[in-house]
Amino acid sequence: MNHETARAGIDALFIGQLGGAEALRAHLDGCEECRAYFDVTAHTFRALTGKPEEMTEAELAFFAPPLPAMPVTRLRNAPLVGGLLALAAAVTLVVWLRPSEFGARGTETPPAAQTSVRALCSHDVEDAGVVVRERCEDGDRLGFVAKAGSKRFIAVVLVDGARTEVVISGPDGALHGDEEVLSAAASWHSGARVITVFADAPISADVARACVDGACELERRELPR
Amino acid sequence: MSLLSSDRALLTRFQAGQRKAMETVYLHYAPRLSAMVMRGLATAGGRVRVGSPFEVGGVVQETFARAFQDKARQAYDGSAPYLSYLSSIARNYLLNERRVREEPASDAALEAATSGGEGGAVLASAPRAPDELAEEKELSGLVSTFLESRTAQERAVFQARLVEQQTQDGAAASVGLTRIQVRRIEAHLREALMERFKQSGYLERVKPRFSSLLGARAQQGAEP
Repeated sequence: MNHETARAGIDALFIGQLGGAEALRAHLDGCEECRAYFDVTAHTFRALTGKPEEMTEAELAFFAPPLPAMPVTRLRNAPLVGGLLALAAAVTLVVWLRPSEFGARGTETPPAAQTSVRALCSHDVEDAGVVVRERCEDGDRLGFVAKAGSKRFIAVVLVDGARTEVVISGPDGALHGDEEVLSAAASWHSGARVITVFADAPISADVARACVDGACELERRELPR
Repeated sequence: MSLLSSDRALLTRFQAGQRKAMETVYLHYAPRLSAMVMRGLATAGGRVRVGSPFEVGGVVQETFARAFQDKARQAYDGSAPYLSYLSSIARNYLLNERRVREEPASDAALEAATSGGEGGAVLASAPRAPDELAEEKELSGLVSTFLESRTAQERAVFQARLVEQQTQDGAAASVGLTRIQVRRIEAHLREALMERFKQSGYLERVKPRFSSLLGARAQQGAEP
């Protein structure tokens, strides 16, 4: 990351479109000029709230401490499991999208060695209970579960018209073999496209975006809707 | 009473390490802690503080990372304000690991006045210099002009989300839209506002007024 992409990353953060924060954070740690730009931008958005000493929502997201992983429940029999979940008054709704709906295609890699990504929709429900839906709805949290195969780094790009959201695997971008839930998630909008990008090295958000339309040499798959 | 000491159910879920409870605690207390770190945390000889939003963010993140560890969550029993608990962690971190210098402070009582209450962040800010006032006026003008060209619905979303910082659900209810509509309008507004800031050169002109902890440490050099 250079100064220019760092500034673009800071803009994206305060606009609400920053994908992976780790690379930006690492750059800012070593770049006083970029930190100054961060400070001025943060101060400007704080000024809108009339509370110049308090972190804004964007800053809170950027500096969030590590939290436990989101609980994930795989729904093999949606009505039965959904009923049980509702009875238990769990706090998270999860709709598992069947592999046949969100499956990789167009690759000759043997399945066992293939890096795979599954998508799931979840909707936080306050302590009131759970409503199970068969399909994702606008605004649902679109999370991803990835499993390392021949590639250990992935990025997922959600494209909704001109807007993109990028989700990058793990704190350092690496997968570790077993299925793992990516800590970041996107928001589901009807008609959005989901493109996954695979590599042997960390993938920046900018590279991931460039891959959306094939303008990169990395392996790329679009998850069918 | 503070959130955690008044909501026993939340405290129980928090101590059990439930993500949702921890998120609630973080979102509630982090802005308040950031204001305290910026103003200064009282010490025996004065206060320690960090001024730059980036540095403050780092201190807040480190403080919560420590406060959210199993032992630290179990150690908090809800009898004292949680903000005081957090400020103790932040103070120790600044003094012992970041080695921020204590400075004499005539307003060390500020922390005592703010650490237990919920309204700590609304204390009046220090008097501003003329150039700061000029920048505020410029920003105010930019935002006013920006909002004049927006629809009433967009202005309402701007007020609810960027000014009042309501949750998306809260903003949707107060503006009479769905959450997804609020999200989309807000995204468009933020993008357009940033564009306006850039076109005007405001972000380039404004001087950062925040001391950089890393810069200060580099200048101190000889300090252990």
